Amino acid sequence: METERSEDRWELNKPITADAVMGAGERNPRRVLRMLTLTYLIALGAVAAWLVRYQVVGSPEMMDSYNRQIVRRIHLPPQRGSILDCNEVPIRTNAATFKFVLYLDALVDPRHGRQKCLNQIGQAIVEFAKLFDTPTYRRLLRPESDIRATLLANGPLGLVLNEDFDPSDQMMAIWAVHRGDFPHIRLERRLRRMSTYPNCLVHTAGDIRLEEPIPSPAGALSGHARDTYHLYQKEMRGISGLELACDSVLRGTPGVEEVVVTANGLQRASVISRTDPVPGGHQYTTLDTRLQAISERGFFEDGGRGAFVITTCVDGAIRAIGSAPCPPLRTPDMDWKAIEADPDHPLLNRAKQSLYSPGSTIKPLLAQAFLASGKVAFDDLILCTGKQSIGRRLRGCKRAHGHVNMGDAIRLSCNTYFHRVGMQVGGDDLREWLENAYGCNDSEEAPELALPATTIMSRTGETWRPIENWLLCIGQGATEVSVPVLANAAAALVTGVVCRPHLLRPDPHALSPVSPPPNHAICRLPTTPETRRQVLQGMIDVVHGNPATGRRAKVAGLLIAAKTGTAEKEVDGGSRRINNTLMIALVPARAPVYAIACIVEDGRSGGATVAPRLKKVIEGMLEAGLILSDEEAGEGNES
Amino acid sequence: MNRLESMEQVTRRSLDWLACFVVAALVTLSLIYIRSTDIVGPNFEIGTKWLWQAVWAALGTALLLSARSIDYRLLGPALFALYAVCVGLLLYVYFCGPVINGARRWLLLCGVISVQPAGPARFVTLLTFCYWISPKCPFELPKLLHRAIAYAILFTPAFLIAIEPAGGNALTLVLAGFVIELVHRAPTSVVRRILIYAGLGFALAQVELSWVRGRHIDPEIVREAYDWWFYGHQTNRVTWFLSEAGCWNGKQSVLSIMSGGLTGKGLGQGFLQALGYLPRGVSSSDFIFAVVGEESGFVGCAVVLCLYGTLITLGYAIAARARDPFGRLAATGITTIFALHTLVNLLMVVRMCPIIGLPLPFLSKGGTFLAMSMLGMGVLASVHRQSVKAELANAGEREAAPSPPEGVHQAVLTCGPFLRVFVEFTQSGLDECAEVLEARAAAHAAGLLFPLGPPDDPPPSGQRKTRRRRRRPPTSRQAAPQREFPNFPVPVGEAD
Repeated sequence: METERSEDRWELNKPITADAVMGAGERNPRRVLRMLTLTYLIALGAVAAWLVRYQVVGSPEMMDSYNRQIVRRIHLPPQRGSILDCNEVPIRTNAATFKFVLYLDALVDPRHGRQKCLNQIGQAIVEFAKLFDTPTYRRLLRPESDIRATLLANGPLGLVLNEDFDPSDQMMAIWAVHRGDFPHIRLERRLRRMSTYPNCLVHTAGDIRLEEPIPSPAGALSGHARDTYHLYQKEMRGISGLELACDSVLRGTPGVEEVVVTANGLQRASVISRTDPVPGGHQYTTLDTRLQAISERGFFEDGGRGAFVITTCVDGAIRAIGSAPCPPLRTPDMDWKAIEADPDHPLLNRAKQSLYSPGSTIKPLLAQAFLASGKVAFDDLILCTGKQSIGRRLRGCKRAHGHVNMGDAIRLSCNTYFHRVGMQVGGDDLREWLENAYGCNDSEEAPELALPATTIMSRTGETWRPIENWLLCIGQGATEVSVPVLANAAAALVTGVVCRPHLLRPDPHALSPVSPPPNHAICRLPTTPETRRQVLQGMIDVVHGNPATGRRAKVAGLLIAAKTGTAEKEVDGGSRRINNTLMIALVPARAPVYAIACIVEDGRSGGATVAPRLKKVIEGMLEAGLILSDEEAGEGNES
Repeated sequence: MNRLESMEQVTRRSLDWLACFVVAALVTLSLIYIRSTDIVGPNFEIGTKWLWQAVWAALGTALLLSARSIDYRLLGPALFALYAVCVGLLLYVYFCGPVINGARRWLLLCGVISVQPAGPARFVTLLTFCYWISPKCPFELPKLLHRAIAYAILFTPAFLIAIEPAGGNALTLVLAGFVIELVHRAPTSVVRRILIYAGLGFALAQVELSWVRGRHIDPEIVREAYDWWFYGHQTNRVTWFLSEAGCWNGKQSVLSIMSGGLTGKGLGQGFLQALGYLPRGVSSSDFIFAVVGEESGFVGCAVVLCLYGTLITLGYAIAARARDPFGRLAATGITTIFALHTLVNLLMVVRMCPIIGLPLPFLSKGGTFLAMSMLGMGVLASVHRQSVKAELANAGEREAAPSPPEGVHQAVLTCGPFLRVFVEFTQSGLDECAEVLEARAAAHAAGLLFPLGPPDDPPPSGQRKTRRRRRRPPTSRQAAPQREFPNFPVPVGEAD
C-alpha cells in the first residue's frame, strides 16, 4: 500500500533527485516561505504607516484627547485687593485663616466600590476629628453629600473639612503631634475678607461672596456640565457696595496651574506649568474711617432711621457716608429672613438709594438764587403775617415773623418770605437754579454711587401757580434729592461750584499718572463772594442766632453754619404722614471744610431731632482733630 | 569567488547567529522597557520585578545555546513523550489548576513561580506535528489515518488551551499548523491566492471598520451577535473594538504611542503607564509596544519593527535552507508562531484588530514565554547549524588553509561583533569558525560553488563519528556519492 511517507520520504542512501528536493508538480516550499516573509513585511509596513501617520504627522484630535485626559488646569484664585480710605487705612482687607483639606487619593482604592470608598473616607474624617474638642469635632464632620460630590468630581483639589478658623495654640499643638498619622490631610491657608471697622460702612463698602467662576451642578442652578479639565477654586466676588463697584480692580487676575494627574484624577503627579495669580489692586477711596466712625456713632447711636453724608467743600469727595439701620456683616449663620422682614429695612442703603424732599434746607440755595436774580436785595424786608391762603389751605409759618430780611428768613426759616420772593423771581428761574445746584445736569455720574436722579418741582401750566411755587420754595412736593446731592449743594453755597459726589480717588502711588486728576466740578453757580458770604452768615445765625432753629447744634468754640429742614411725607399708602427731619451744615463756618447733610426719618423737626446729633458729630470731629476750633485756628493763623 | 560572494556565503551560513543577535537586542530592549514599567509606590519609584525578567532571560539564553548545540533530528522520538506530558499538564491545569483572574492557565511551582504549560505545549505540539507529517516519522499508516492523527495532534492541545480560556494561544497554534501545511503540501499558486485574498480582506476590513466605528452602532447589538461565539470577556473585546471609543486599554495604548512623537519622551518618562492610565498589569506584557512608542517615539518603534522584520526573515530563510523537511517545517512553525504573535500584538496595540492578548516575543514580560521562545530560537539555530554542516559536507575535500585570505577573515568579523562574543562563549563556535574558514579556503582553491547536498552519510555501524577539533592536513577528496543533480550551478537557497 502506497503510503504518504513512501512518496516523499528521504531515504538516506537513495540518490537525491530534483523532484525529491523541489517536490512534485508546482509545490515550492522556498517560494511559499518567501511569500510568507513578504506578507509579514507588508503587514509590518502597514503598522509602520500607522505610526508615521499618528506619531510623525500627528493628530490634533488625539493630542487634545491626550491632554484633556492627563492634564488639569487649576485656576488659582488671586488675592483680592484692599479698600483703603483717604489715609490709606484699610476698610476692607484680607486676613489669613486656615482650613484642613483632605486629599482623597490615598484613601480611594480602585478595587473597592464607591460606597466602600465613601465609608472609608468618612471613617478617616471621624478619626481625625476625634483629636479635637467637641465644637471643632462637629465642624470637621462633613455630610456624605459633600464627600460624594468631591469624589465624583475626580479632581485633585481635595475636600475642605473646615475653613475660616483661627487655630488656637492647642489645636496647632495637636496638629503638630498627629500630622504624621494623617498624611492625606493638610493644613492650608486661606484668605478671608475682613472689615477693619466691623460696624461701619456695611452698606457702602459692601460684601463679598466666595464662589467658583464656573458653577458646579452640585451648587448653583445653572445646570452647566462640570468640566473636569478646568478646575476652579472659590474666589471672592463683590456682591454689593464698593466691593461690587470696584470688583474689576480688586479682583486681580487668576493664575493657572497645569498639572498632570494620575488615572483616577485625584493625585497630582507633576506640574507642567504655573502662572502665579496677580493680586488685585487696592482701591483708594475718599472716605475717612475716623470721621465715619464718629459720624455713625453720633448720628445713629441712639437709633432711628436715616442717612448722612459728609463731603469736602472743595471737590465733593465723600468723607463719610452711612445709612441706618444697617445689617451686620455677613456670616454663614445669619438669619436672612428676619433681616428681610425687619420693618425698618436695614438692607436699604438710604444714603445712596433713597430720595428725600429737602424741606427748608433748600432755602439757602433759593436765597442765592434770589440774590443772583437781582430782583431782591439781601436787606429787603418782607412782612410775614403767619398764615395765608395758598391753594385750598392756609399755609405759611407757624407764627408771624413780622418784617424779615433774607438773613432773618434763613434764620427763622420763614416760608412766607421765600414764597413771596419766589413768586417775584419766578419759578422757572428758581427751578433752573436748583437744577444746577443739585447737579441735575451732570451727564457723568460716579459709578460707585449710582445715585437716583434728582427731581425738581415743576409747573403744570403756563405759569407757576401759587401752590406750585409754595411747594418749590419750601422744598417739598415733587422736589426730591439724595443725601449726597444735598451735601454737595450745601458745599456749593460757599464755593459757588457744584461738584459731583464721589467715593473713589486715583491710586496715589501710581508710577506715572495716566491722566490728569479728574475734575469733579459740574457747573459754577453765578454767585458772588458777597452773596455767598451773606447767605453763609444767615446760616451761621441758624445755629448761633436767637431765636434760631438750629441752636441745639451749637458747639462751644466753633462757628457752625447750618440749616434745618422738615419735610412731610406720606407713608403706608397715604394713611399717615411722617416728618423727615433734615439738616445741612458747613463746618467750620469761618472757612468751611466739610459739608454735612443728615436726615432722620420720622422725627419731630430738624432742629429738635437732627441738631443734637449734629452737635455730637461736630464735637467728635473737634476731639479727633479733624477740625480746629476757632481759637486754635486763630492761634494757628497768628503763628 | 570574489569577496562579495564570499561575504554572502559567510552571511548565509551565519543566519542563526544573526537571529540570535536580533534576539539579544530584543531581550535587552525588553529589560529596559520593563524596568520603565516597574513603578511602585506613591512616588513612582522603580521596583525590582524587572530583574525576574533578566533571570528568565539568562535561563532562556542557556536553553537557546543548549538547544542549538543539539541536533534537532534527535528530538524526533522524544517528542511524543514530551507531547504526552504537555497534554497531561494541560489537562491537569484545566481540572486542578488555580483560578487566577477567572482563568486556569498557570501552575504554581513551590507556590511562588507561576508557569504556563500552554507555552511549552505549543512548541512541543508544533514540533510533534511537524515530525509526524515529515518523512522522518517512523510510523507507517494509511494516508487518511495518518492525516487524522496529525490533526488530532494539532487540535487536541489547541482545544485544551482554548478552554482555559486562552483563545489567542490556541489560535496561533492552529494558524501555525495551517501555515506548516501550506509550506509542506500546498501548491504555490494556492498559497499565493490565499495570501492575496487575506491581504485584501484585511484591507477591506479596515475600511469597513472605520465605517462601523463612525456609525456608533449600539454595543448591545454587537454583543448579541457575538455572544454565543465567545466567552463574555471576548465578546466585550469585540464590542469595544467595533465601537468608536474602544476599551480603556486600547484607547490608552493608542494615546501612548501617539504622544511619543518622533523621538519619544525619554526612557522612564512615560506618563500614561506610570500614572496608571495604561494599567500596569498589561503595560509590561501585552502593551509593551505602547510603552516603546511613548518613551522612544517613532524611532524606537521603527527599531523594534526592523528587529522583528529581520528576525522573521531570518527564521523563514533558515527554514528555506533546512536540510530536511522536518527541519524546514519545524523552523517554519517556530517562525510562524513568532510572526503571529508579533503581528497580532502590533495590530492590537494600534487598534487594527481586537485585543487578543498575545505578547510580543522577547519583548513582553513573561518568563515562561521568553524561555520557550528562546528555546524555539535554539531549535531554529540547530536547524540552521545542521544545514550548514550538510552544506559543508558537500564541499568535498576540506583542506586546512594555512591562513585564510584577509578578505574572508574580514568578512567573518564583519558579519557581526556578536560572533566574537558567542565564539568566545562556546567551543562549538570556535569550531564552526574554523570549519567555515577551512571550507572557504578549500572552495576558493577548488573554484567551486556549494550546491545543496544530501544529509550527512551515516557513519558505518560500530564507528562513532568523532568531532574534528584540530585542523587536519589536507586529504584527497572523497568520492562523492552518485547523485542525480542538475549540472547547472545551483546557488544555495535559490533553487526554484
